[in-house]
Amino acid sequence: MPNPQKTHTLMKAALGAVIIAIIILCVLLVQQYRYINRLDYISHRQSLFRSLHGSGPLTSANASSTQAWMTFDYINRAFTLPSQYLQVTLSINDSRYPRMTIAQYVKASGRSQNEVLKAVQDAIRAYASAKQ
Amino acid sequence: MSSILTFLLSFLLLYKYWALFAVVFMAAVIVPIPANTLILAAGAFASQGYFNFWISLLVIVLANMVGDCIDYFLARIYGRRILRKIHVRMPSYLERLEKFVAEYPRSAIFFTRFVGTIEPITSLLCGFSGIRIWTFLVYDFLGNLASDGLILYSGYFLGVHWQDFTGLFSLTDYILVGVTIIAIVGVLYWRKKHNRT
Repeated sequence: MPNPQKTHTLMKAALGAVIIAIIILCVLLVQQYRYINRLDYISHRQSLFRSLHGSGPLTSANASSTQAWMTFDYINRAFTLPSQYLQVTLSINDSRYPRMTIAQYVKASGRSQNEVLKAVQDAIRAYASAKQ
Repeated sequence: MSSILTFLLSFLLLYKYWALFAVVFMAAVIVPIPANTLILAAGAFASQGYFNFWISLLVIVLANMVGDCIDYFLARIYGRRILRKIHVRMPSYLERLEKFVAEYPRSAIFFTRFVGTIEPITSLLCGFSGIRIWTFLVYDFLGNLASDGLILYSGYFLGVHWQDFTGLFSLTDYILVGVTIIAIVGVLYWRKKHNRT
């Protein structure tokens, strides 16, 4: 026969553990909500859902989202740039182009990462405006 | 973004499906790498036309299943032998967990595919318990298809915004781990109490 006293204590302990877990989860969820709110997604929900389901190539408005881990091949494809466009604009002589990341190019060229990223973003915007 | 994640993202863009397979496979075996974030990224890349959604899904499910099967067979063939050799007795809570998995293999296999952290442990326990290989394969496939498909489609849906939601996916993982642990402890406790009466 189970000891009713022990069972009762165990039940109380389990209930306590569940309550603590729920409190921790609530705190984490509130943190996430505030984070997403800071990104202005919830206040501008309409624009979020208009821009969500973003299948298709990126536009010049997304140029600032380029990062050092991205490859030139990916940037060319994502922004529908001609394959040699960035190579010519940035005067890249590395044979690994376009299958190299911006970070790899930064290391090989000795230029600063911010400088290269800005040059890539400007090139994307310039191509888009020339196309229009 | 952590340096490991940026390295993995570059690896993914450079070697595409091979990298996707390698990362998901290693995560499925037991290496703690952020495979779910990579799957989310692959979905976003698919929305931009750099990856094919269906090939990515196929590669991810296949990599997960190969990794899970390695865990299963390692535990099934060598598990107990290794424990005997190194004179280690399985902890009682793992024994209870093994019994639980043996009793409810289908739900255990299917639902733990949604929780990256617990997935390899369940595959190992399935091998220990000697769950039939076909049961393991069928529910492993269904679970991986549902969970990976969900994450991949989320990435596809979020598109360029995928990076802003990686934290939310880690949080979902923590929640699922918490809920799974609470559920398992609850069922074990209920069974223990039920058996006594």
